[in-house]
Amino acid sequence: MTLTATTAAHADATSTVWLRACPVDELEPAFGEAVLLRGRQIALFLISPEEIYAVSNIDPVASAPVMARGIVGSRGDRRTIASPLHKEVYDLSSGECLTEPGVMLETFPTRVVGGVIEVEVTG
Amino acid sequence: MPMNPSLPSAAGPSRRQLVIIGGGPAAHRLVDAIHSRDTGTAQGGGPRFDVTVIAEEPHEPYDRVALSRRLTGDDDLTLQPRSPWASDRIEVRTGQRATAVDTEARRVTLADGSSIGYDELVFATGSSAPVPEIAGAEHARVYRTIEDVDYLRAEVIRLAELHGRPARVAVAGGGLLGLEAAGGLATLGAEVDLVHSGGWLMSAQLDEGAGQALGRLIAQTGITLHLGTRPQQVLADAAGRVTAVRLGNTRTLPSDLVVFSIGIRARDELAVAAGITTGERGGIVIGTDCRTSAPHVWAIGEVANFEGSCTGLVAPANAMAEVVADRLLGGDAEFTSVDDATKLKLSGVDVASFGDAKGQGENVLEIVFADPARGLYQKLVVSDDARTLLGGIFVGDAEPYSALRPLLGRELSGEPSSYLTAATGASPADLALPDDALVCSCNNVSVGTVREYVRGDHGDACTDLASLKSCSRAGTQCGSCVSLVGKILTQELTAAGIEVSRAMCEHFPISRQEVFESVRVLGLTSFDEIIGRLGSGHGCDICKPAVASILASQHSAYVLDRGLGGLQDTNDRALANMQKDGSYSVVPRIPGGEITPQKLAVIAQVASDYGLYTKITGGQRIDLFGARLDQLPDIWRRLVDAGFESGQAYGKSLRNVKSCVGSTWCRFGVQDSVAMAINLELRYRGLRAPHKFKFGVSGCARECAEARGKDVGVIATELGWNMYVGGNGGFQPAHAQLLASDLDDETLVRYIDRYLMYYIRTADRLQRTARWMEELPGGIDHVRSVIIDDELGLAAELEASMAAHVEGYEDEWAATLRDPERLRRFRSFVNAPESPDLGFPRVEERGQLRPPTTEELADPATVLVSGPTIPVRGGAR
Repeated sequence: MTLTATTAAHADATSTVWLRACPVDELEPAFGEAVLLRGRQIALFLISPEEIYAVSNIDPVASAPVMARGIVGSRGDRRTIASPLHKEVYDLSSGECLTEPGVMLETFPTRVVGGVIEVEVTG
Repeated sequence: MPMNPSLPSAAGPSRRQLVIIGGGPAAHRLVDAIHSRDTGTAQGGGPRFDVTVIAEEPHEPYDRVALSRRLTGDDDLTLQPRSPWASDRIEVRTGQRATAVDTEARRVTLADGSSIGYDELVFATGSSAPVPEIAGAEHARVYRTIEDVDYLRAEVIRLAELHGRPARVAVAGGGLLGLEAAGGLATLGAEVDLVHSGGWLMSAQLDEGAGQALGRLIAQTGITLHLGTRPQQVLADAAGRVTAVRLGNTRTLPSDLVVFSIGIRARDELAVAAGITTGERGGIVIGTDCRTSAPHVWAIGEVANFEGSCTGLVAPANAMAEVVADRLLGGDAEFTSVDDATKLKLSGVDVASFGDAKGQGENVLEIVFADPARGLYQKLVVSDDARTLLGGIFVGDAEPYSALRPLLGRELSGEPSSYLTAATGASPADLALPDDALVCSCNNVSVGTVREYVRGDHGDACTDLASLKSCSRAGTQCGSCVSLVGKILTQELTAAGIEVSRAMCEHFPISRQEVFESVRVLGLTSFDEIIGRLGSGHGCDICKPAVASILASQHSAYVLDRGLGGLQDTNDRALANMQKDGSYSVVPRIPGGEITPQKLAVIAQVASDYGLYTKITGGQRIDLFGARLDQLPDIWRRLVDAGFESGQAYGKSLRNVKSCVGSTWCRFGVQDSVAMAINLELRYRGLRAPHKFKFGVSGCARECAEARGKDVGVIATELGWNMYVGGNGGFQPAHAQLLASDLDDETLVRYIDRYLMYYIRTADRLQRTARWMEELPGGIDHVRSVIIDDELGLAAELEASMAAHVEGYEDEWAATLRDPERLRRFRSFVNAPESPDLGFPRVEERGQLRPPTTEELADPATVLVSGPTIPVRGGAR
């Protein structure tokens, strides 16, 4: 949990880097999949080509690489992902766990460049 | 263990020893009451009592009232809750007999020579079933304990096999227990003669008219009645085998087995020897405080003689236990009257009586409806102004009983005759129940208490019947008041304006059943369409899988295409079962548990090649653990090539059909259970439902397939199949109930078609068949009316839905393997599909691989077998 995705962090170019993950059309809507970026497992969720989330694929509670296989949904206005193991629910934007206070899921900014999804990770 | 001298001093020197002699329902209730209430002393310390129960039988306390269920099934009768036995200050010594009581020294001597001191002693020794002193009495059996019942059942089966005809059983005693025994034995296939000394059955509870009506109904079930006479002699051959019973009226009945059930005799011998006062006709005399003549000695249950007699009913026993618990803990509760209301079902015949059922009081009026031809008898006993209810009897139709019994001693709001449903053919008049009326006499729960639980006065509001029963305890013993508890629940919720929320989650304000019907009627096929029409938001891990299951039940489409993949629950999404480390287990279908050696060898080779941990499941299948997501297609290609299909262990769908080997091999089998199991498994495979469901098929009444522990249980009979429904194991085990008997193959399948489809249409999400039936108004009777009598006119539609499922079935793994687009969903990483899914270290144990524990992972000495030795996708063969 070294990174907070704020614009301030963007300015600090030495700490982060945008990595190409995969073409947008590789992902089915609301069907998460994992990508391997510099040895790190990251789960991608495409809601629409304009709304793509990236979080750590490692379940913070169970330490297993499964988050990409959870169910995407919403709680009120917040987009969520539920762990496929024990169903803890996380805010996809902030990583905050909505069912177990204090637990956090690492999140990463995303963007689409030329039809390819990019994820910003620490460099 | 209690009395442990090393207990910390916090337990305090003020702890006292309570010894209970006897381990039946009364003892259980007392222990449960002490366990739940004994939480502190006046000094604010811990519990006041250490409790030791001396139980003669080798069982924890069990529900003797339900013995007849044990006669016809393998029901576990252990009384709930069992939690008191887990307490370290409560001990039950089963198989242990008390042999002497010294009230001076306050010690109980046990059969093994040891003794135990007490501060307080409770006699809950119950009673024994007497056999009269007639010639040959030593050859007779009784109907009292689990051992008695298990023996009778085994004998009836053994005798039938030995003689090649039904066993002939003579049952002496036409009271409650005798009728239960006779009915159960007849259900087992025995030819039963029932001998009763009275002029009509249940002569202690019923008047002549009711007894006659009951007699006609019982005779219709095939039991032969011999009234007004009693056995004079049991005849046996030289080897001691029973051959006949000679009756007082000089008739001789050929019999293989004689069972006496002529009453109860209080087990007061220890008390007599200890000098404690007993009654003229036996039983330890108690006062309203349940104390005996000796200080610090109490008596409860059947052994207690209150106002001159002992009572063999569970409600008074429970009431006495509550009085003693209250008094031990400093209260002043009193036992004031015996509630001898009775309701039971004998061989399918409803019988109930309560209050002054025979109208023996002065100046009482009896309002009677009798229809001898139909075997109906209903009677109310009221005061001479026809207003106050004093008692009643119901035979053949006991519908009004549960609502009327609480009104005993109160004014009726309507004409007495309006409550006799048999006369009017209408539902019983609506009754306004006062708060202090008793709804559950077994557990002494008043109408007001039930209402309080519904309103949430004691914690969370109970808004469904199951939680209301478990919180209030109403209806948890004999069950006769459950329908009334349900009515009170509905009335209360309606009165409070509470619409019981059946909303699935924040996105769907309606129940699964309503979503199911709307989807069906509107012909909706995608989640976006469904949530757009019926809900709001973007869905969640609750409603998405529910909608996916509904769509799968209605259309036999591949479950991961067309946007459905993201709706599926964890296991469905990968068509495999996710384990705790994110790897998967694979379960090929092995219909009926039958498998060729060649196919076994394929499973063995696959497991060996992929380093999979192998275990036989509870459902006669083989589970292969530890596969990575990206390995699943390769593993399945080999399995599918060898003729395997998905076992759908991952789905809320049919799991397995368990079977015994049946008549093909077994000496006792009467039908081909394996063929039937395979037939059923192939028919219902792939059918998705609100919850997983299982089948069992047994080839004879020995029930080796444990079919009654399944959602659908099929048990062979000489004539065909008995169909049971609503059983399950797991967290809340339930025994399946008999839906229909002696069905031929075709009818059996037709009924199962209807049953499953009705369940799928109307159950709540994640609701198993047992719970579903429990919550259906009318329970199994309602199910029977829909499935067998087709009262809703749904049968043809339900069968057509099932036919569509059977027609549209396709193995999900075969369908996956032939489509590259579908295979993409099993890649490890979108950007690196060649790189294996990471992070599955293994250690070796007993010759197989398993995930390491956290401690092992942290320990550098642990030998990890790492991933690369396991073939990567495409790397194998």
